[in-house]
Parts: sequence; structure tokens; C-alpha cells
Amino acid sequence: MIKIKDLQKRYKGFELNISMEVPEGTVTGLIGRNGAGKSTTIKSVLGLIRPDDGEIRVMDKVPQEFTAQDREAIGAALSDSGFSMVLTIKDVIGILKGFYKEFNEEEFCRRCKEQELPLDKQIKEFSSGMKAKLRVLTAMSHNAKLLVLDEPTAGLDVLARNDVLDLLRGYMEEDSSRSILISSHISSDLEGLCDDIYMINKGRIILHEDTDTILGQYGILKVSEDEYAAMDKQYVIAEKKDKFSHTCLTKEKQFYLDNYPNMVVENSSIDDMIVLMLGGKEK
Amino acid sequence: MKGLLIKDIRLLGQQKKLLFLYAVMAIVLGYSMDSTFLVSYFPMIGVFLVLSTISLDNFDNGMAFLMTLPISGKLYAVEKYVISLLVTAGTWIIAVALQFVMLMIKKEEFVAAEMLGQDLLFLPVLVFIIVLMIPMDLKFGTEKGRMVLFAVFGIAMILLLGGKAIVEFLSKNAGLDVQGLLGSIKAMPGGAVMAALYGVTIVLLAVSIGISIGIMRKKEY
Repeated sequence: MIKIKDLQKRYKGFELNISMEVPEGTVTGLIGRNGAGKSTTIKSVLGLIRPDDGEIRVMDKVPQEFTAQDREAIGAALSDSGFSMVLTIKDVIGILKGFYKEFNEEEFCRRCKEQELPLDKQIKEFSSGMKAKLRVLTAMSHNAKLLVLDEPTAGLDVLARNDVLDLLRGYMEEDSSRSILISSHISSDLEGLCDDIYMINKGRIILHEDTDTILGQYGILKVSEDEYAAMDKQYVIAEKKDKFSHTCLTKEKQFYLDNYPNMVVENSSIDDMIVLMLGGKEK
Repeated sequence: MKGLLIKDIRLLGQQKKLLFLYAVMAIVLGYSMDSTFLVSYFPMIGVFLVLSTISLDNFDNGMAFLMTLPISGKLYAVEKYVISLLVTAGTWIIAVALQFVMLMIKKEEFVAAEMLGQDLLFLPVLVFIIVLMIPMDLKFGTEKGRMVLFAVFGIAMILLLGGKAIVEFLSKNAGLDVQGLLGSIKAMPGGAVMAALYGVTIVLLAVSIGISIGIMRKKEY
């Protein structure tokens, strides 16, 4: 669905240089700190910015060459941008009808009602959570094959975040050939939704892994100075030295469970990985 | 383009109270003053209101989202001209109709063809505002666009005064017959002057659309 090869975009003090892929029927997450390059990647995919070098193909087309028909197959939600705040959802319905042949008004209204979004109120009077839900519902309103979502859960409370994630899960369940590219700096959002995750830092992809592999095979080792000196470190990906101990990230949790029965081996979350890979020392 | 037109009509609909207020003001002032005021003032307000949709599109980084919809930068630019010309024509027709009604209520004597001829002179002026403002607003944004516009008017005034000084110098020293030149323009039939004015306006409109499309093609969001 999306193929990015050696995409380069240079700004003053920042350079993006990445390759990644979003296959058909998958939910791919892009995670990283603020300013890591997530939005630049998303904007490149949507054709909002022109790459300085490299290649992007979305549904076999270069984004800059998208026709209106190509764009109808994409649903986008940007974290800091949407329809004018002076409009109401009733206005938005009229506009979407004018833009998309496959806009499903009945379904859109049903979902708005379900999420308690008032149709007559100006969007500027909505809470952050309501605005975020409207952005996602808009992206999902016209049977798009690909959803491209930039930080759709940023700034939301836990309940609103869960609502947005449930909407996306429902969207994928309706048609297994659909794909989603979603960026976030909240790892728990991506853990429960994505099939695979790209970790981005300072404009570079530093890790790409299936979510199941991250949660099943990756582990955190908490070892003393002596244990650290004696242990086999060939499967340690990143580590962080504390005052009296070492915290290590490994992709072979089972190896350490089998060979070092007294070692403290914990399951790894994406947050742990971020802390160690971005805040620790990479091997 | 349908979606963009609906969007702009809905945005204008949010300003209907303001438009109604301006319309009442125009009627009151038009009734108490010269009725041609109505024909110049009311469509002008319409033009500025429709141009404010560019500002509303840009507000809160809205352009980035708009460009993910099934449109291109070219279509966005062209639609701004289409909606601006539609609103200009619409408000001008309403204003002319009101002017005729007012003159009849006031029982003033007038020649309809002459009055209409006079009113038709306002249309190129209104289009000229569109021709200048759309590329400015697209390139610099509404706030900066206004500042650039003031700068352009300032430069135009300087050029005008400079031109006048040159013409005066030439008429004194090189025997340029300014009065004769003005006389020959005045002697031209009204229809020819009007056709020339509309011709120039259409050319300027085409150039302005081309510039705006170029601006939108280069833009990143």
C-alpha cells in the first residue's frame, strides 16, 4: 500500500532519511519523540511536502501525482489541522458529500451520535477529544482503502483515546484489505492496534519489528554489576547503566531465561524500548 | 470543485449576519446618499467577505487538511476565482436591482441604460480587487497579504505621481499634447472604452489565475 525508499527531506537543523513499507491489510505504527520526523513522514505520504530525494509510492502512485480519484481512496487525519472551526458537523456533512462519491452519510451520522458529537454546534466549541473523534470519523467516512493518521490520540484522556482506537479497530474489521499508517508518541496506543511498528529518532528508523515479536521476544534484563560482567551480551540491543546496576534490552528474552535462571527478566513494553534505545546506549 | 464551492458557501453562511448588517447599512446609506454608492459598496463587501474564506481556510493550519481532500492546489486556486466572481456578480445584480427600486421609490428621473452603463463600470474595479488580492493572500496569507497590498498601492501612487511629473515635463519641454490625447480618449465611443476596460480586466484576470496556480503548485503544508 505504501512503499518508501530512501526518502530524504531536509530542513534547517533536521534531516529525514527513511525507508519503510505498509503492506495491504495491516496497521503500521510510527513511534518516536516529538520532532523525530513522524509528521514529516506522514506529510510526505500525503503529498503535502515534496521529498528532496528518494521515492514514495502510495497505492502505486507518487503522491504529487495523485488525482482526485486517488485521494478519495485515502482518509487522512492530522493532529493540528481539520475543517474550519466555524463550521458545524452538519456543514461538514454537506462538504463531504460534495467531495466523496462514497461518503456514507447515514453511517457517519450514526457514528457521530454514538460518540456524542452534536451536529449543530460549531467545531470551535468542541472539546479536544470531540475534535479528535471528528477528525478520525471524517477520515473513515468515505470507505477509504488507506487511513493515514498523524497523532490521532494526542492530548486525549484515556477514555477518549480508547474510543478513537476502538473506532480504528472496527474500521479494520469491516474490510481486511484496508491499511492504516498511524503515528503516535504514546506507545500503549500502538501496542494494542498495530501489526508492526517503526521506531523513528532524529529522522532515522532505528527499529522495525512486528508488535507480537516486541511483546513476546523482547525483554528487559535487570542485572547487577557482577551479573553484567559475567553474562553473554551478544543478544543485548541497548543498555542503560544505573548507579549499582545495568538495565539491558534484548530480543532473545528466552535465551537469558534458559541460561541465567537467577536473572531478573521482565517482559518489554514499547515504552521500555524507547527509554533504552533513545535514552540508553545502543549496542 | 463541488466540494470546495459547498465549503465556501457554508463558510459564507456562517457570516450571513454580518452580510445582512452590511446590506442594511448599504440600503440606508444608498437611500440617503447617491444610489450609486449602493452599487459600489455592497458588492465590495461581498468581495471582501468571499476573500475572507482564504483566511478561514488557513486558520489553525487548516490548509494542510484541505490538501488531503480530493483536490489539487490548482483546483483550489481556480475555485477561489470562481466563487469570488460568482459572489461579485450576485451582489452586483442585487445592488443594481435595489438601486432601481430605490430610485423608483424616491421618484427620481433616470435613464435606465445610462444608469446601467455607469453601474457596469464598477464590475472591472471589483474584479481588479480580486485579481490583486487572491494571489497576495495565497502567497503571503491574509495578514501579510494586506500589508503587501498596501505596499503595492504605495508603489503605484509613487509611480503615478512620477508618471505625472514625466508627462508634465514632456508636455513643457518636448511638445507632448496631453490635452489633445485626453480629448481623443473622451471622443471615443462609450462602448469602445467599456470594451477596452473589460478586455484589459479579462487579461489581468487570466494572468492573476496563472500566478495563483503557480503559487499553489509550489506550496508545501
